[in-house]
Amino acid sequence: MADGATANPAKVATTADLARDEALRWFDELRDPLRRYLLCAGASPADADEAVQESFLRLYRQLEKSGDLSNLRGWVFQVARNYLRDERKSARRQRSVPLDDAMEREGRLADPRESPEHRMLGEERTRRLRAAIEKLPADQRECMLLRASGLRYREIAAVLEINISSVGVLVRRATVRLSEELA
Amino acid sequence: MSEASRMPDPECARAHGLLAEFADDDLPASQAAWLCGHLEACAQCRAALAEFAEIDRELNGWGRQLSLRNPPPGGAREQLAAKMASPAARRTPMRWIPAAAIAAALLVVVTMPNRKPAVVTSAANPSGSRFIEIPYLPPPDPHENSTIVRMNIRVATLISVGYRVTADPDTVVPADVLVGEDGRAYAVRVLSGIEWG
Repeated sequence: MADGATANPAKVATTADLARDEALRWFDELRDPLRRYLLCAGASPADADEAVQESFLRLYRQLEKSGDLSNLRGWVFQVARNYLRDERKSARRQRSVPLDDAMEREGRLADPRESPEHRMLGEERTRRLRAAIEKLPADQRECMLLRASGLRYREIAAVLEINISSVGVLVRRATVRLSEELA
Repeated sequence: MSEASRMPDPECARAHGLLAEFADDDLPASQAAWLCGHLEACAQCRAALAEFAEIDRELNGWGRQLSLRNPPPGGAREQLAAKMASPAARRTPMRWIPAAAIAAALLVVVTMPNRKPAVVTSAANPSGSRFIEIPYLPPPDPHENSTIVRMNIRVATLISVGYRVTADPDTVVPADVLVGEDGRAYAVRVLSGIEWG
C-alpha cells in the first residue's frame, strides 16, 4: 500500500493532468472563435495568437487551482480581451494595428482572382461595417464582435452573462444602427 | 425610420427579441411557430428579419475572411501543452515588472496618510467578500505559505492593477492583501462595502 508520501504527489499530478486535458479541450473548442474575435477587435495576428496562448495558459492555472469555473467561455474571452487591452497600453510593444491598417492588410492579402472592382467594393463595405461597429454602444459592439467571431447567440449570451432575450434586444438595436450606417 | 423614433407594438417587440435565436435555429418549436405566424402577418417584422439577416451575413463573412486571410500558426496547441507541462513556465510570472509595481504601489499606499477613509461595514469580512486574484498574475503555488496583510488601499491603486471598482478613485478602503513567499501581492479582499471585482 502506498504511504502518504507517495500518494500525495500522485494526486497532485492527476489534478494537473486533468486541468491540462480540460484546458486543451477548451482550446480546441474556443481557439478559432476567440482568435477571430480578437482579429475583429483590431488585434494583429501576432497579438491575437499571443493573447490566445496566454488566455488558455491562465485557464489551465485556474483549473489546476480551483478545478472549475462558472461561465468558462466568458472568462476566457474576458481574459483575452483584457490582455489585448493591456498590450495596447504597453509603450514597449505596439504590435496591435489600428483598424485601418488591418483593413489594408486584408486588402493586400485579398484573393487575386477577384476583379479589382469587386474587391474594392468588398473592402469599402467591410471598412464601413467596421467603422459602424466602432460607433455602437459598448454592449452592442461587443455583441456584434462576438457574432463576427462565429459564436451562436446562445453562446454570446453565456459570454456576456446576460439572457438570450437581452442579446436579441441588443442585436436588434445594433442591426438598426448598422443598417442606417451602411445604407 | 429609426428604432428609437417609433414604438413597436408589444407583439413586434417580442418578435424582435426572438430574431437572434431564430437565426441560429435555436428557438423552441412553440416560439418559432408563433414567430412565423407573426412574420406572415407583419410586413415591418419581415423587413426587420431581412435587415437582421443581411447584417448577420456581413458579420459572419467579415470574421471568416479575417480568419482565412490570417491563418493561425501551426503547432499552437503543442506549444501551449509544452508551456503547461513546464513547472518553470507555470510559475514564472508573465510580467514581473507590473507585479513589482503592484507590490510597490501597495507598499506606498500603506505608508500614505489616510485620506477620506471609506465607511467599513464590518471589521472582519463584510458581505462575504472574498479574495480576488490580481489580474494576469499567476496564482501562488497551492503549497506556498502565504501571508495576509491588512492595509488601507486607494481605489485608484485597485483600478490601476486591473480591478473594476465603482467608487471615487481617491477613496481609501481597508483590504486584506494575500502576499506570497516571494513577497509579491497575489490577491486582494476589499473589506468595505464598495462594489468591486
